[in-house]
Amino acid sequence: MTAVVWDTTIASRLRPGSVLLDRLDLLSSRDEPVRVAAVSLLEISYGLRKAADAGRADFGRLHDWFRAFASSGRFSVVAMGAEAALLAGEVRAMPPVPPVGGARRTRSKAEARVVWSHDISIACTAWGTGCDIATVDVAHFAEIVRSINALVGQAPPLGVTGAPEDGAAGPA
Amino acid sequence: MLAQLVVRGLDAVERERAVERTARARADAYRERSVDNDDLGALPPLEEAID
Repeated sequence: MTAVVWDTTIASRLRPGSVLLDRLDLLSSRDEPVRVAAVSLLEISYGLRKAADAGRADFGRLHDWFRAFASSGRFSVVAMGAEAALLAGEVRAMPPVPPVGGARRTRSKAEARVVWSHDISIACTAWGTGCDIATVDVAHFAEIVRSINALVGQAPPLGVTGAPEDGAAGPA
Repeated sequence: MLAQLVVRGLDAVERERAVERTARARADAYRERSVDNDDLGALPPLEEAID
């Protein structure tokens, strides 16, 4: 089975006592470490800090937990190398622009563009580290994956799979 | 029990090798798209394209 990088929509569901956390530890115990892109840590830290600063103390506590968890070595943090970063820039320059609608329609246009750029970085991180991408939002990433595979047609193609609840994001 | 652990360990090593092979093949394919850097002609300042 192809290794996957969990995108932000999956990694952001991690919290103490969650089924997803149990799954992460189970995979780790089987020497199948979960991989999360560094850019996803950025997005999660941003979201939690922003909510905490807006007065949500519970998100502040979750941020504290997540920061310690991210440094615990219970999952692998992966980042882009030169080729993946260069490819991400090319994909960013291509249409389509961020799709309208879907689960992320509550965001402003400016925020949607930032998230789109981050999603490109996450997809290229998966590409560059020899993995596929696992996400809750398969349709959203499918556009990016199509662009990547079109640009580097000779390379082993990047795939996109659903969330752990759908039986993906790592072997059962 | 020990045999199972050994098999599991070998499987993990093989999985990681497969991931590394895929990563290398992708990076190689990307680099193969690059042109020869000889005779590129006059080039514009890079910063003109960066906003």
